[in-house]
Amino acid sequence: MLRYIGKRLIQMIPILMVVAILIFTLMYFVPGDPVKIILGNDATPVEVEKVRDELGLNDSYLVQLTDYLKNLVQLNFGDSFFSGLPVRDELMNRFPYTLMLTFCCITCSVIFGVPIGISCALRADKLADRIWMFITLLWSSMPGFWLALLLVLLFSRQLGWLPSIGIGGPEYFILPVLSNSLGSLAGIARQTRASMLEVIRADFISTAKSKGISRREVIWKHALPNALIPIITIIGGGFGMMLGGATITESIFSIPGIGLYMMNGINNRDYPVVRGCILYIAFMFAIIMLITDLVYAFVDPRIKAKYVRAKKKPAKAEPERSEVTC
Amino acid sequence: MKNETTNNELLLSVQDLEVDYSSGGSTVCAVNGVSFDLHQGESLGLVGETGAGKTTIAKSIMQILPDHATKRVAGEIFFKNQDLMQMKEKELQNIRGSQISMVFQDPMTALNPVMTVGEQIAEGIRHHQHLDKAHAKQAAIKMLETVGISRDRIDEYPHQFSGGMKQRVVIAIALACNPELLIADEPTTALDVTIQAQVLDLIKELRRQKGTSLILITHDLGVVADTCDKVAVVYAGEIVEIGSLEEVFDHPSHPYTKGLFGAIPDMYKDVARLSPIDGLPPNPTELPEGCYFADRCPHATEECRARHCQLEHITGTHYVRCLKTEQEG
Repeated sequence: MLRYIGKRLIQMIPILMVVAILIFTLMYFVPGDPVKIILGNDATPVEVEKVRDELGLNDSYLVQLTDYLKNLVQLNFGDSFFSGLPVRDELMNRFPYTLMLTFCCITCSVIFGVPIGISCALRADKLADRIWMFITLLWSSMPGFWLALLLVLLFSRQLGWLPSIGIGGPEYFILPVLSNSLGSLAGIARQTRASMLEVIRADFISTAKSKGISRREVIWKHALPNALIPIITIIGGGFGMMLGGATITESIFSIPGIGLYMMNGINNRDYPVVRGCILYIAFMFAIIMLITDLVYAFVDPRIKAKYVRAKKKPAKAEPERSEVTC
Repeated sequence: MKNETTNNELLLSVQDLEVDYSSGGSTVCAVNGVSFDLHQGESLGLVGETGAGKTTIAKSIMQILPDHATKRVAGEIFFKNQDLMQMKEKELQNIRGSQISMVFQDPMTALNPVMTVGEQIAEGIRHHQHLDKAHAKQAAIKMLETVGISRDRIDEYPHQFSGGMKQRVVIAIALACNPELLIADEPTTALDVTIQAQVLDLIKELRRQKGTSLILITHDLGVVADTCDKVAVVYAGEIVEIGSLEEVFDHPSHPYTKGLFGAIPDMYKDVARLSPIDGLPPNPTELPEGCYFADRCPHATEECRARHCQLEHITGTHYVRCLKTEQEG
C-alpha cells in the first residue's frame, strides 16, 4: 500500500510540470499588460519600459519560461507584481480560510445529503421521495452565486440576522457555507439514492434479511457500504473543486481565501499569482484524488486486493488450497 | 391434503397463496392459489420451469418479497400454527434465520462482497443466540468447518472463494442457527456438476444429522429424486400435481408432468433429438380463463379452455389438477 502511495506521488510530479508549462504559456500569450494596470493610464512609455525590464517581461518566452521553472523547482512561485509579496507565503496565509470553508461545506453536504439519499431510496417513488428529488434537482441546478445573492438579500438585508461580508466569528461562515454546499448536498443526495436503489435490490440484501437482522442493520451494515463507491467519487470531486477555492462564493462574501486571490490576480494580470494559484489547485486536486482512491480500497476489499496483490503473492508461497470435500 | 404416511407434526401449511407483482403498469400474477403442507423432517421438492413462481413462493414464506414490486399478497402461511402473513416485522425477524432460513440461487451474488465470510455467518448467530462477538466467531468457525471449509479462511472475503465454496458459505449462514425449516432455492443451478453433487450431499448430510425439514426448489428432476420425499409440480404460479416421490415419479398424471419426464433423454437408448414440450408458458400478465396448460397440452379440449379445474385426489397423497383425471376418477 505504501509503495502504491509513493508511486502515485511520484506520478504527480510530471503532471504538475505539464500544468505549470501550460499555464505559463497561456498567461504569456493572454492579451493585457500588467504594467499598464500597475502604473495607470497616465504612465509614459519610458516608465512602462522601465518597469517591464524590472519585472523581466521584456525577455523572450524561452528565457522567461526557464526562469520560472528554475524557481519552481526550488518551490519559489515568484512575487506578486502588485504587492511584491511572495506568492507562496500568500497562498499559505489564505489556505486556512479556503480549507475551513471547504471542510464545513463538505461536512454539511455529507451529513445531510447521504441520509436524505438513503431515505429517498427506501421510499422510492413515494410522495416524500418525489418531493425531495424535486428539491434537490432545484438546488443542484441553481447557480451558487445567485443563491448567495438571494441569501444575502434575505438574511443580511431584510432580516439583518447574519453578516454579509468578511470574516470573524462562526456566524460569518453560515451564508457562504449554505450557498456553497446546497449544490453538492443535492448531488450527493441524488447519487446516494441512485446507488442505494441498485444495492437494495441485490441478492445479498435478501440473504441479510433472511438472517432475521433488523431493517436498520440491513441498510447500514449491508446496503450502504456497498453503495459507497460512487458516493465517495462525488464527494472527492466536490472536495477537490472547493479546495481549489470557491472563487465566486469567496468573492461575494469577501472571504480572503485562495479563490478571491486568484480572482484578483486574473483581473490585474498578476501572472505569478495566477500561476501559483493554478498550480496549487492542480496539486490539491491530485492529492484529493489519491485520497479518494485510498478510501475506495478501505471501503471495498476487492479494490484493496488489487493494490496489495503484487506485494503479497510471492510471500504467500503455500500451495493453493483445494476444496475440502465432505 | 393431509399426508397420511407420516405421523410427524405439521410444520408448515401454505393455504391459497396468491402473489401479484406490478411491472411497468401491468399486473404479473406470479403465484395463483398455492396450497401445500409440510411435516417435521419431511422434504418437499418444488419443480417447475423458470418463471413458474417457485422463488416467489419461497420468498413469501420468508416474508421477504421485494417491497418495490409486490402489489398484492393473499392467503395464509402457517408455521407451527402461527400465520406468518399476520405477524409483525419484529416477530418475523425472530423467526427468520433461526427457525426458517433460506439458501439463495446464485452464490456469486448472495454474499455481501465487503464483509468477511466469518462476520456474515456470525451475524445471524449473534442476533438469535445473543452471543458476544468472540463466541459468535467461534460458532461461525465451527459452522464453516461443518460445511467443509478450513477455519483459517474465516477472515477472508467472498471474492477469495470459488463458486462452490461460496455456496457452502451461504449454506453455513442458513444453517448457523439450526433452523427447523430450510428453503433451498435452486442451490445447485449455478454450480458445475461435480460441485452440485457435493452441495446436495452436504444438504442431505446436515438434514440427516439435525432433522431439518426442507423445501427444495429446482427444475432438475434428478435432484428431486435424490433428495425429496414429496414433489409438487408448479406451472404458471399454481401446483398442477403434488404427491409423494413414488406417486409422482411412478405415475405422473398431469400432462405437464408427463411432458417433463418425456423430455429427459433415456440413457439406454440412442436419442437423436430431445422431445421438449412445445410452446411457452402463458403470459403471467394475462392468464387464460381455463387450464393454464391447455395451449401446450396434446389432450386439450374445448372444455379445458373454458373451465379452470381444482386439484383432484387420485390415490394416497397424490393430487392432480386436470379435467381428464377429474372425469376418469
